[in-house]
Amino acid sequence: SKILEPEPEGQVALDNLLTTEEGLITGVNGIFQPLQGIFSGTMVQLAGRSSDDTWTWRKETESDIFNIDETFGLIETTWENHYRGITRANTVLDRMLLVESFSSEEMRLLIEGQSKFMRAYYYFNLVRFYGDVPLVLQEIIVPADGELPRSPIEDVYAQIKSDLNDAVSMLPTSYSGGNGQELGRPTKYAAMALLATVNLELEEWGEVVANTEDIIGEGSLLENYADNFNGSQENGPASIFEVQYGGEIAATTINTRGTYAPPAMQGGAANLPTDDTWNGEGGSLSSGNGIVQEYEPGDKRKEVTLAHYDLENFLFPDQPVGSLLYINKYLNEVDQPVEQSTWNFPIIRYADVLLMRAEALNEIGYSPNDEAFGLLNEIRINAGLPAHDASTLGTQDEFRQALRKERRVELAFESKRYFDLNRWGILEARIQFQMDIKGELTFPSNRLISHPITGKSYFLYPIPLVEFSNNANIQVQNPGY
Amino acid sequence: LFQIQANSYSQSKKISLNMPNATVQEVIQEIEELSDYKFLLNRKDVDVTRGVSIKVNKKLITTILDELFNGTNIRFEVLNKQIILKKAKIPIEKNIKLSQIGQTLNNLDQFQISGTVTDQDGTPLPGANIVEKGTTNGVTADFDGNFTIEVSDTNTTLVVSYIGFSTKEVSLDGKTSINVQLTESAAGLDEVIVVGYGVQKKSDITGAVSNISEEKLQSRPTANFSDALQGRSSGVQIRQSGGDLDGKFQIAIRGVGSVTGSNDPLIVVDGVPLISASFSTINPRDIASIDILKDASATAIYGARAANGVVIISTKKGKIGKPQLTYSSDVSIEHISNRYDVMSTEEQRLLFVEAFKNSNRSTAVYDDPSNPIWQIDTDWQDIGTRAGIRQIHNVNYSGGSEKSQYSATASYESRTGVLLNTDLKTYSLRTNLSTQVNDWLKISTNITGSYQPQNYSDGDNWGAAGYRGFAYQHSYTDAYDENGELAGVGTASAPYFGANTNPLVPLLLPTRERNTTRILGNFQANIKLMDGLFFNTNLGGDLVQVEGYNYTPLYEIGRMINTQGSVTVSNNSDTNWVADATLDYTKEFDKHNLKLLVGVSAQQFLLRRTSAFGTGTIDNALNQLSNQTSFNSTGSNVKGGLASSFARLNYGFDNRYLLTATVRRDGSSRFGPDKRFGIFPSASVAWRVSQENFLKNSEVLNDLKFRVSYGLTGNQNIGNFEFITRAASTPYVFGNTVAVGNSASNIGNPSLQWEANKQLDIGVDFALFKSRISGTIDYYDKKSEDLLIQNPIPLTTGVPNPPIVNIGSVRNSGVEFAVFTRNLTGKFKWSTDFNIAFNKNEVLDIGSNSAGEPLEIPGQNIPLSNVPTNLTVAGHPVGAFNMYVYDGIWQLGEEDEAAAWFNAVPGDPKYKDVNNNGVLDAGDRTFVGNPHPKYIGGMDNTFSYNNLSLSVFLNFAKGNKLYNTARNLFSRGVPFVQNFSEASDFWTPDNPSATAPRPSQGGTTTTLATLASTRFLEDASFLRVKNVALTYDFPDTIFEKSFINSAQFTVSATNLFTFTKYTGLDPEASSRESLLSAGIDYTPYPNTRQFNLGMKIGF
Repeated sequence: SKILEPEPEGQVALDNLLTTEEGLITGVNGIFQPLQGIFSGTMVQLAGRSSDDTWTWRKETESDIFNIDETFGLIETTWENHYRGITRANTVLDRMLLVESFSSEEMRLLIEGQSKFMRAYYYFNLVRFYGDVPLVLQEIIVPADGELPRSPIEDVYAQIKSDLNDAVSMLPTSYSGGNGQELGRPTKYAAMALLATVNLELEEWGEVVANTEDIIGEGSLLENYADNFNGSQENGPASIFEVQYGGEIAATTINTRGTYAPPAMQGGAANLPTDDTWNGEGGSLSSGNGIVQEYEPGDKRKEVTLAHYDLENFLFPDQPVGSLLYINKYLNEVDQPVEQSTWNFPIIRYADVLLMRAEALNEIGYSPNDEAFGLLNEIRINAGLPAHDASTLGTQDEFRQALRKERRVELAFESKRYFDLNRWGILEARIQFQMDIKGELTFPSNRLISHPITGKSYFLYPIPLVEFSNNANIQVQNPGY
Repeated sequence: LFQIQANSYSQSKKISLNMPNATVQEVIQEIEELSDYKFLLNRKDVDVTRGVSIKVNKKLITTILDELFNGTNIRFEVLNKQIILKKAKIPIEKNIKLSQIGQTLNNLDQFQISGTVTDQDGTPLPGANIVEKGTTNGVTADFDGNFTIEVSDTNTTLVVSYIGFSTKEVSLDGKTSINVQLTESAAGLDEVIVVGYGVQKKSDITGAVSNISEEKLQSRPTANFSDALQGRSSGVQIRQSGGDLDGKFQIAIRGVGSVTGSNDPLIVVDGVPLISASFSTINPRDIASIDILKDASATAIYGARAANGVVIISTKKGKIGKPQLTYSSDVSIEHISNRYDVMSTEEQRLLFVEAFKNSNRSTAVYDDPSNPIWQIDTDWQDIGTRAGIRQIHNVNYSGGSEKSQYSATASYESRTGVLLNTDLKTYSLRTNLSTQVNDWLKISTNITGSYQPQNYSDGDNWGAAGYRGFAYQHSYTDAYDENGELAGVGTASAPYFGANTNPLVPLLLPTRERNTTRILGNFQANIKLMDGLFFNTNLGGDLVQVEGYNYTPLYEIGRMINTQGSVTVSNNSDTNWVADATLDYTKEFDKHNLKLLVGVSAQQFLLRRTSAFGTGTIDNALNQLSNQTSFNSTGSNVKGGLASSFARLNYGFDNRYLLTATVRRDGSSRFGPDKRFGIFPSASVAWRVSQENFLKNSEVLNDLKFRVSYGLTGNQNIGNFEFITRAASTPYVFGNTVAVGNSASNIGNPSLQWEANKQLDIGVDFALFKSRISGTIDYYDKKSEDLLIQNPIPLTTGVPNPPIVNIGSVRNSGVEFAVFTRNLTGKFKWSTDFNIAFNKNEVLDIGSNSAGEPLEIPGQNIPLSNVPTNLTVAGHPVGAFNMYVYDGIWQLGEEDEAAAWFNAVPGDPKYKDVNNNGVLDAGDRTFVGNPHPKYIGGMDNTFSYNNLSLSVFLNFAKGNKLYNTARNLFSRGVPFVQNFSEASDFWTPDNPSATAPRPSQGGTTTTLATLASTRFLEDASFLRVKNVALTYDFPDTIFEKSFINSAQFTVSATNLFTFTKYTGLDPEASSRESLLSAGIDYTPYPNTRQFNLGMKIGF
């Protein structure tokens, strides 16, 4: 009867939805959605505060001093958000096989290519944060479908590369607009750049070079560094792939004010740039390797990235006005409502591609004034800094150090630094240096592994404790937890 | 009560005759032979030898008599099975049918009987009912207990009844004036209890049912009916959750059986089951009685919704008698009954200095006591609150003839809340009508319309802006500047003194309106099919419309800046309709008494929600949606329904042995096609020992009844469409345009079914010493099985909502005791009503997780420390408290141990190392208490002398704990919120015996001080003087020759005293509806102490 079988209005059974091209497009849109949460919360802490770039005055705990345990909330939400995206991608990939007709073959490839691109992206973050992870590749029908054992890093990377190679062959170089073709979806270049990032992580230098080859020249740096972040050049020439924020509600915007702005501007200033001025005072790992000191004189990027807003120093009252610097590059004073910014957040910028390629070229072999120098200098000159040449960077290692410094400054607070330190195998050394200044703290060396592919000393976060209860097949925790 | 019994036989019995050439005498004899009719006639008047010929086929008696006496001067009256033949005084015209005349002439031979109804002491009983036995003829006694009734026969019997008194039958024996004395019946054995699709005499009931009479309900002013219920019935616990003037209450009957489903009982108003337990618009003054069905025998008639008990509300109906007009008015003044004890400004300054010192930070700006900021000491709790005023006005008129009764009420309530900018008004109209249309049809309608506009405050939360805001905002900021404008802290001084805001800004500036319109009503028809057999229909509906309008204005007050206004307009429209049809058959033969009910019911719920948010205005005058520049909106439309059939058999033998059997079959839209229908049977038996011959004439024992019942009921309180995998809206953005996104919101479980509740009840009802002592004792054992539980799934499934599965069981067992005693009778009267209920709640099994370990379901996380305080596991109560055990403060000399344990230092709080591993970790959390009381109860003492009566009502609970989140946030010794005074006694090396740990601003100490622990878990046992009321009835002699009939004045005080160790505002606070997070106090709308002046005037 009608009474017992009402229409579930507005709440479509998933079975009825993913049966058409239009339905699948909404499914694909859903795959991207976890990105907004991941970059609003997770990355700031697990890939930002955990590096030597940021510190917090609020709590001397958690990611800043690496005393995260397996019950730490962000460990759980990060894991959860990434698998949300993965499940959604799996669902689209499985269901699209049952859809008989698409408006065009391009559209079919677009749906499959984006799903695989995003599945690869989510797994790439997971494998970097957690190491071996369950490799779920099918739609979840019953809970047991998600109860898989951890797959070795090698297998996860094999899947990532396979998905990205598919994405490279399926995705277009640009989008025309219109439903399902909106600007901001991943392009062929985004897939190549992400694949190159994977190669870089695995020190597959040749592949980095090969996979960045076609991107060079397809983008350009922006004359005004601030335009990379202030919403004026979203999905523009300097952007390869970014998290899209917009609309009016907190669910689709990012609360950068709460994260970075000072209390006087109604922010929490929960993340501050590391600054050697503070000499370990004020809270957590505030100094040592301070990023504030990393900027060379004349660097145009500094005043975009950091600002003091002429405010009293609320942490150190005896210090002069303006002595405390805040992270400025995402602070959106234009958009409303106040705490919500509609500015996109970069995941891969063109500058990153240049630096990746330069790094790989140098690792293959130091060659004075070759392409690697050109790439590095393109960034420096754009920032108002003098170019390097063989006279300033005479060895492979000098180039390496200069490149690492350039990456740090160019990509400051873009949730790259932790991943870089970790893949370079220098995370422990950098953090311990800060801890020594703070005093009486020790980096948890027992939580390091030797990376199965690169052999580098590599830090892993714990698998969330709750998974051991709900997935009997997980069994093994990471070392040190 | 006034069910028409007369003439039912004559309306259904049909007779065939074929008698050519007979006499009237022979025809009469034949009719008496063929039927139960008996003829009464005077042979002088009726010529029985007259010859007639009659041939009729299946005709009613009236038709036959019409034919038989057509053209004669004989008229007849049919009184059920009795036929009276009389000679008419006027000759009858031939063309008029005699039956018509018979009816019009019916009242010609009437006798007027007058009398008085009093109690044993001669006090008049106004409103007593006097009914001529076996007829609908009845009247009501006036204020002096006097009545007059017209009867057709001076040898008839009058049935006289009055609530709370034994019904008496008085044979007139030719008298025309009688005085009737009724005896009080404490046991109320003759009271009629509404049992769902019918009524039953209390003495016939075999299940556990308690009744709260109108008298009790109306004895004190109450905000809503759940408030009126509190403490009145054993085993019924009322918890306040949420914090507004319309009071969100939760009712739990006999503990909590469901873990993740709802524990709300089903609420039925005049036959209309409500969708939810939201009932603020039901005017408590309109309630005539509340019946609470507790055991399976009583509730099973409501099948799938009965597991949590059923509360049946009956509204006031008109009574036979002359019209009565009553006006009542209550005026109350309310004050906050309790407040938080917060630090003074100087105490805070000292805390700042110590905290910053302990966290190795500069104390420079706090050291100087002459800093202007320290000169301010604002008492926010005082500034933000006021004395509340409540006014209630009610006008009721009621009355009725034998055929029709009516009652109508208009009421107006106005409350100004104790929190500034909160108020509530309620306008309501109720009309109840019933009419006996003819011999076989009675129809009635009940309808209420109400409108309740409200300005509300923020709800209860960790950092809510309501009363809680007054507790945590610093005293060293001003509320108003020198111009009387709201003040705020400037940006320059803000950095060192915390993120200060003026709590009056979020309280006073925004507009928060919620207007509820509700129409609740039904239409009932009772059709008599034959003697003892009725067909009843009930069509009802409940329409609730809630409109919300919120406006957040733009303002710039110090550093509190809002540069754009925003508007939220919401509209919730809930429609609930029900249609029932029942057949009701009653048969008495010899000593057997049989009642059979069969019925069908359909109910549908339509829930429509829309909400639109707009922002962008830069002018506070442009405060409507259309003035905004950007928008966001949501909406949903949900339907659900039940299709059911049910049957109930009541059988009694000799009033001694009673049996009730009930079964209901429910189909529900909440479950998938395979599991849609459920069958819920129950049975009960009772033995009225007092009716046995050996006890029948006992002076001591007036009533004794043993009852046993067992049955199955269901709980279907989960969301709709849980059985299918649904798509959730997960929008993404491209450019700045939101794009529709969809993904799985859950994992559907097609085999989902009801939560099954199996309950055994053993009870005794007794009345002793001429009913001076009467009471009820019940033992029950209730097992809820196949619990509706969200079984956790690995996060790798990537789906937000785990499937709901049927797993595990919870047991509630307990004893309920209720007693009513009349301690003193006579001129000075004293009676006591006492009830107490013990309940033990235990989770027997909630299944296991993927790893095979018993499942553990945590409650909601407490903010900041981000850990739950409740844990539901097998072997403990639902939502048992599970947390760190506070173990004092680390002292000097314990440095090494403290450092090894958690990098702690002396002065830091210490928690018990429950798992003895030397460090603080999750394994140190342990079970530390029960959020559910061991026992609850109430006691009402009423004293009266002449026209004066005093009632003192207490309620109490014992054995439950309450988590005081206010202290968890404000007693940590961490600056930048106002701390409670207790944090002033903080640890220093010189004050090692301090009660509070050392203050801190960040770091390990702060982390430790913030942990949710037993430090903030408090005993919430309480004894409350809930109400004291002094009532004076003016003697009616003063109203002689006045238009006023009666007048009553009442002075009362509510929540006069509360004896408790709980340090929060109210030991009955409970902020979270989910029982997984039971017993957490987030500071609901403050409880108040009220002083009330009431009057009631009858015209």
